[in-house]
Amino acid sequence: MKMKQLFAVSALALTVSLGGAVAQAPQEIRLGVLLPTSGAAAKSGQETVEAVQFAIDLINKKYDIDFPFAKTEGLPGKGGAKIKLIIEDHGGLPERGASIAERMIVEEKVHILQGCFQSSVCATATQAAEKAGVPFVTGTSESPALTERGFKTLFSVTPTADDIARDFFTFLKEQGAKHNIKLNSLAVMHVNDNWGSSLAKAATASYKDYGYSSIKTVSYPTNVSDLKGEVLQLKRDNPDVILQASFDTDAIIAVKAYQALQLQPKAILAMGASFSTPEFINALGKLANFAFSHTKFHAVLLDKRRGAAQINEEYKKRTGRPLWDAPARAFTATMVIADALNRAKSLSREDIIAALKETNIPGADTIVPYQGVKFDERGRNVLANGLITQIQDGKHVAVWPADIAERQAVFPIPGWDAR
Amino acid sequence: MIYVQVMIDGIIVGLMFALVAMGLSLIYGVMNIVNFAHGEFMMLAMFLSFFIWHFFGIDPIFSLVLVAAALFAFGVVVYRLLTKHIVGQSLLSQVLATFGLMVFLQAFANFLWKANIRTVNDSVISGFFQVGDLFFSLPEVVSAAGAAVAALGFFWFLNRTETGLALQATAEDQQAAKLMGINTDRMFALAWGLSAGAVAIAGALLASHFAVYPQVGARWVLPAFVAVAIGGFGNITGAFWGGIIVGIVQVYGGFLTDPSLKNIFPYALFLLVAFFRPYGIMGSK
Repeated sequence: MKMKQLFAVSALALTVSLGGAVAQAPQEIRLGVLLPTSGAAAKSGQETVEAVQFAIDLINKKYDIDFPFAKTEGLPGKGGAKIKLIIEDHGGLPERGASIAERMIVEEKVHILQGCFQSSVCATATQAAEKAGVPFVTGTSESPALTERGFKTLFSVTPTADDIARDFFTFLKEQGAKHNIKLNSLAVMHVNDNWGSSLAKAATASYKDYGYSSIKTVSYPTNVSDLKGEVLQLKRDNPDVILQASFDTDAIIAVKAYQALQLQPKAILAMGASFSTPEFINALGKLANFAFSHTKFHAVLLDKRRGAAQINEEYKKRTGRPLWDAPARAFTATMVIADALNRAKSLSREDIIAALKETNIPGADTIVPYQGVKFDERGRNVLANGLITQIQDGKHVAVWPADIAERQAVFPIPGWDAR
Repeated sequence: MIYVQVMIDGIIVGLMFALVAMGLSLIYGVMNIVNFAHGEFMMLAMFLSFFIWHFFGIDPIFSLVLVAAALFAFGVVVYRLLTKHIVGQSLLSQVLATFGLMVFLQAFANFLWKANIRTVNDSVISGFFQVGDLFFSLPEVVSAAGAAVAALGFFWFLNRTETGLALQATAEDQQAAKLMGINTDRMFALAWGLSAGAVAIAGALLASHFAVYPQVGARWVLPAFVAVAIGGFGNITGAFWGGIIVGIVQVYGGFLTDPSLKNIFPYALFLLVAFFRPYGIMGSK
């Protein structure tokens, strides 16, 4: 009996000590990412996925790049723990976003979530995260409505539509003064989802402050085949300036309709990726010229941010394309997550959230033009800003702000025939 | 004048919907099957047109006949491999089969060609022209004209040729058609081929100026479903006019009210028709 008891106790002690030893080894940290690889934004989504995968490799493996987490393997503050990436396609459908987030939380037991590209999907996915108390970081969903809900778990790294509208109006004010042109009327042409509507809302809230006397908002449903009716509405008012929020194919349809119906504003300024893609320039040729885009990444940053050039090269090796707006922002969001996970006292949800609240990354440690990353009580990055580019001779050039502009903006933009 | 512009733009868009709808209606009329993969046939035609332009430099307008023939053959193959086995089966089997085909084709295209948007950017047909105060996009006008010609060809074939009449006979009464010596299996295959060919013509016409990507089918086929429902399932003429009506209602609706509501009008019209004339405006009980 005594031998049996001794044996049992020893076995128990051994198991406990071994279990303890196992617990000392680096934990696997699970990051759940929701992005669209099918649907209206599939193309942008696929490239954004590549950027996130690269960020995870940068963190988990060793790279000879002068950038946070590149030269180490795993998170140093967590004993070299690696991040395991779980990616799922939400196809741009908000209901899928919610169910994917729930599944990732319950079945995959993710420590933290990232996503979503489309703000409408983020709206539901973050709700699921908030209910479960799981932190959620978004680098690509721009709608201010997301953070207006005051969620404790949501942290938005990207500039929102409010910041974008502010940048647009500031730029237009400077151009108006420079060329002695008074801009009176404004139109916002946007896709009728959370993201597109956020630009209309932001512009409507602030247009009077910048001296505009009228604003016309025209929204269209997703997946349109034709925008003639919408453009004819705009033509009735003949706005001086058009602000636009469209997805990839809609942007092409819209500009073709502008040309066909001879709608000629003094400037077209686009929020988001669609007016920044090579497909846009390819599809429209000369018609693409002179469109302005608000972007959060541009080649000009490769010289201004350490490590950015090498990161761009590595990304190019993987995808055949250089970095651009959406992938750069998603990459940045993943690095913000890594930074918080690294500093967090433990991998509990509360500790990760506390670490995110304390985030204070200088702009120089990112590849984006933000002043830095620091969240306010609503989870908004107060140091976020963008830059404005214009397509000139089929190439995107940075034209604002002045300290990083490569060339002067062409304003007002030439007519469709004069190209 | 702007209302005339809206009307013309509605007709232009409507002609494309009409051509797509006619193919859809033919399948239903002949076989009582709703082809949910109809939009994907169009997508494949658009990709084929694009790749012929990309690799051989042939404008989609000139490769149109080849593309239509290729998709005709594809339609026949789909019939022989898939739909032949669901004729006369339960409604659920039929829906699942064509719906599954839709998902498969879209995913396959996404896998092969990724979601990248392709465009034919130096088509021989480009630019716009002006007639008084009216503005027209040349590619769209050409597409609409092409769709109108194809629709007329469709009508002519169905009503003026022996094969076309045999097809109509099969649609009307399969058993009687068999008794009259019509090979209904061949008629079914022909219906699928023609349907795919018709929607391929629409796709080839669009390829010269519309972005090509795996999900493009839905943008054109959903309104076509409404057109078929309005015009009467199985009624080709009804599908044609249904397409025109949907185009006009959509563009007018978007122009007169908030464009974000523009899709409401065709579907509201459909609900009205479903309420008061469930077999469609030109359908029969």
